[in-house]
Amino acid sequence: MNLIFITIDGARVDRIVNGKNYKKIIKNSALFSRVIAYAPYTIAAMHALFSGTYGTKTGVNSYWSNVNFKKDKYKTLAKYLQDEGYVTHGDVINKLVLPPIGFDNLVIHDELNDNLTERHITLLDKFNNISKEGKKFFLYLHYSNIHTGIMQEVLKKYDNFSKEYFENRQKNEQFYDDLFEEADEYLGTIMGYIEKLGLNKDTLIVVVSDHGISVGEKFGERAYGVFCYDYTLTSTVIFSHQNIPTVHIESQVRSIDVLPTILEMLKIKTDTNYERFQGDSLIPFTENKGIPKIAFSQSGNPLKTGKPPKEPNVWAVRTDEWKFIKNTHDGTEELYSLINDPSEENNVISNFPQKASELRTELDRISSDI
Amino acid sequence: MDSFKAEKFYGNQKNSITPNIDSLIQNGCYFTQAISSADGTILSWSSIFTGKYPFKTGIRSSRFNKLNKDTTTYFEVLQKQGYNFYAYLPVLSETVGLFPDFQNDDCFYDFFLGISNGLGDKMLKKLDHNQMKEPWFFLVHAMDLHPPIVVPQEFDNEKFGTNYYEKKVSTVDTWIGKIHNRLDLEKIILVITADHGSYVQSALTDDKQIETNPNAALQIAASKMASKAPKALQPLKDKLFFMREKISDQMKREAIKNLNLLPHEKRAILAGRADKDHFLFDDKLRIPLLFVGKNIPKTSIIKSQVRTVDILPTISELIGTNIIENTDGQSLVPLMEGKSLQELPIYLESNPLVIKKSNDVIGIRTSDFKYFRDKDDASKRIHLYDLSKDPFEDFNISETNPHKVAEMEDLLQTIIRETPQIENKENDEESEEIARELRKLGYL
Repeated sequence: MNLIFITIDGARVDRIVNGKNYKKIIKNSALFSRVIAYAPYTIAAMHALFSGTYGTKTGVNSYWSNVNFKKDKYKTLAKYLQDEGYVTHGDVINKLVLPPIGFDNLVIHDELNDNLTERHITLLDKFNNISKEGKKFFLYLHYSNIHTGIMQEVLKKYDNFSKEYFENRQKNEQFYDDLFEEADEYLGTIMGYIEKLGLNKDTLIVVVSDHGISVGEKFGERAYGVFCYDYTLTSTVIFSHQNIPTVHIESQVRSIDVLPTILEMLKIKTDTNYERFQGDSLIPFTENKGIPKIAFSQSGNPLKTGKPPKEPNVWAVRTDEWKFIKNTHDGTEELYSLINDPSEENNVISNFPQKASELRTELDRISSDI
Repeated sequence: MDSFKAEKFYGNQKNSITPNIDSLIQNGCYFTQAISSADGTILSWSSIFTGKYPFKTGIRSSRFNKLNKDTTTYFEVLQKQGYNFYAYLPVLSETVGLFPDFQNDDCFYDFFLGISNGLGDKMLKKLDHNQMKEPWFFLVHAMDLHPPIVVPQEFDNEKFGTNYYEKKVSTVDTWIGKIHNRLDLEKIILVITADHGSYVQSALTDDKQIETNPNAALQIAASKMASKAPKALQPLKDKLFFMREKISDQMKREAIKNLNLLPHEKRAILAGRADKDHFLFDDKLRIPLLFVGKNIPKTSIIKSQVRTVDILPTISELIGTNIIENTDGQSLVPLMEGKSLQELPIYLESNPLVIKKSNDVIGIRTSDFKYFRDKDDASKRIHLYDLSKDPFEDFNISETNPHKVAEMEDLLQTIIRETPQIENKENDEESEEIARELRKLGYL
């Protein structure tokens, strides 16, 4: 079975579940709508997802550290597939976002000028022909135009403390909606084309969003990559193939679980020459046997420097009920009861010291596993 | 002010017309014997903005290492105090990792900009329109006096100075006046200094002023054209640069072959940017240092030897911020207040050539003596000058004064041994590439 892996960079879950084309796909797929990203920004998020392992272990724990990826210790999705004889090709926004190992070709597109829909359709044609030659393929497609719009109209125009941005929530929502609508159109066209070519029969299609994006929820974060709140940490994954049951899993899972899930779906064995990944296959969830696990995340708050730090300074652990955050840049801690306070407005750490202690211990346990 | 020589800013060797500089000196504190730790911009910056000697900062040159991540800059201290940073800096500043993110988008400029040919206008606009958010730190590095020097026609008259350099100083002074007029010195501190001095290719001999300043406008045009050439042509550009310098050297030697020049006059005229052998003469190290404005006493002239590493602790004390620990500098405020302060020897080093290997030197300067020698071998290229008797450093007395040489070498070793040289662990080229990619993504 082939694999087509599509990343819709910066797609928010609240839009995904209402997206016109997304809904059509979800109708016949397994949707995990609460996939907690290791990091709320693409570089560290995608390295964790591709290796099934947190950045604390792989070395990619900041915007700056893709070069630290321990490729000899952690086997990536692309490498697994390459070793299985797949022809592997990636079309990405930037060279920093994915570990290049395992890709026969990893090509950088020009997010400002390329028409990604046309570009990716051309790639689908090409890989359809490869498939007809009897070869298996792995095609990675990165849709980057939500990022492009945010970069042009938010990152470049405001800083994390621009009042003008945070006082115009409605405008921000509208702007994001317009960007999302284009992403949804892109996805609809691509999925339609895959179907038209008949590739869907023998291809596992995985559609992920790597992280969410702020529309002005919290002062101090105009986009993402600052805090560890749910509006950026919650990502999604859709597995689509005729053999996969149609389910919508709302329980928390982790982005590091995606790799083991794909490997199980493609019946590829774990390579024991490498360190074992930290994630676990999500297939039990599709059979109603899944056990939610605690999720660990890290972000790098640039504070007032305007530059992401080289080491993470916001650490978090999350369960379906609770989130505990440790801001190492100022020593503060936060605790949120996610059931009662899903938008994480009320820090209840002083009311629940026992819960905080328990989660702090978990955070220390995970973060010390390096 | 890049390449501003101290003796052309103030004193009896100055023949420029500088009413504005003179007025500022009268209303502030001027140090006549301020010495830069390095004869090149990048190393000097590393020292000014960290308060440490250059070899302790990790920065070696524009194409080599960057600021060590463990080294604190003054910008970081001010950032914590809520300062907003604005700047006009030559574009090479981006590479060394020393500067903060500036709030003005036009902070980096083409290499040849000075306050008299564009930068001054930009500064006035910033100051006039109150564009900077308080409290601000406005850093301007102007290239007016960096060779090649173009003297505007209206100043190309001997009443403005005896040579091209002095005439350019007169030009610069008018702009300093315009900028000064926009500054409320009750509220701000103005510091004027230089990264290093300069060789002025001019000498007075037999009552005749000779100058070997080549056609500056032509040089600038050639450099600008070269800067636009593709990166792949870099080796060719470098080759052309060395060829140009070689021809210029031959012409200069021809021009002075029958003249009776003192050693310091000869070396100033012959000095070229491609010279492989480097030295540490005061021509390139003695810089102006002027403080004027809020909290600065009007004590005028201070003659003690002071150092570029002292600038940061001085500003810290003047504006009441935390002083960075483990700097090599000391606050000069006691001198400003007329109190005594122990004069400390200053560590010196020459800036290595970027394109090819140069023969570099390190040394020590006190008010009385200058000593320098080969950077890697204490027994080679030894120079010793008695500054009290020989201020122009014409007579190398190292051979006849082995004890003084040993004494100065001890001083040098003490400084070198004080702090082990920090190894820069990061792969800087890699880091720079990541920064470029992050910039593309809008994250920097």
